[in-house]
Amino acid sequence: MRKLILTTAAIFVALPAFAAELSMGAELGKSMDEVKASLASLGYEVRKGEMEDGMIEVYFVKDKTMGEVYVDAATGKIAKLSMN
Amino acid sequence: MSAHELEGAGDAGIRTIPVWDPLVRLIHWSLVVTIVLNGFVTEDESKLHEYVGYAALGLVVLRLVWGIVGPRHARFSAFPPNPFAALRHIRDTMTARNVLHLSHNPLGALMVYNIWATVLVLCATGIMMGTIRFFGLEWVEEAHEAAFTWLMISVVLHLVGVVADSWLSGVPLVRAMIDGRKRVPADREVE
Repeated sequence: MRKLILTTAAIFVALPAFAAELSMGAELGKSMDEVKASLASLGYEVRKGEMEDGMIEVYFVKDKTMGEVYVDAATGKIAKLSMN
Repeated sequence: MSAHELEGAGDAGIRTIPVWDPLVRLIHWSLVVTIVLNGFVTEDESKLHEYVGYAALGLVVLRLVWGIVGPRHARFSAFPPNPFAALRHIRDTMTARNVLHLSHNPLGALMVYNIWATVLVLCATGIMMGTIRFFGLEWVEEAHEAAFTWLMISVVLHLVGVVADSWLSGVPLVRAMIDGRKRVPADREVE
């Protein structure tokens, strides 16, 4: 039991606490890999990613939704989000 | 014989033959406009870019239908894709005994099919980008960009071909695509 608690705690400590949903200002991470991992953990299928004007731009899909997110690499937060 | 040599002869030495019907000309210049708009004016991911792309698709499809049901010179049968005929045309042009083709000459015909095919690839890859299946996939975008680069190379070659053919044949081709009439030196053999 104690071991389980410790393991659980370790996981929470090890994983940066990024956003639980996609919305403006939500934090996804400061690197391409972090942003992609955050999107994946939110259930999005990550497609192309590229750097644009200091922003991390990632394309993603989920069910019937297609979207594109721009994350400010300095703050790690979503600066622009478009979904349809 | 060049156009210059005929100038002194006046209009008597020139036959004016209607070749390009209004729809062929309208499609040609409209396609030019869509290519310029989407290549250099509209934002890549904008709705306008999509609409202009659909317009280009409609123009090419319309032209393909016209190639079957349209008037004689607009039909595919007037300019069948034939690489050997194209090579022969180049050779004949070099030896200055080329027969004048009222529709596209065999070399121009290949370019015409090439440009239509390239625009169709651009439309197809563009439409794919907007589908869940292909959205944000790198290879689709690269194919779209490669097709555009090829289109630009093709347009340059097309313009070089038009200038060269106008000069060698003495028939002003740009003017023919504007008013539909080819001005052919009277002594030229016409096919």
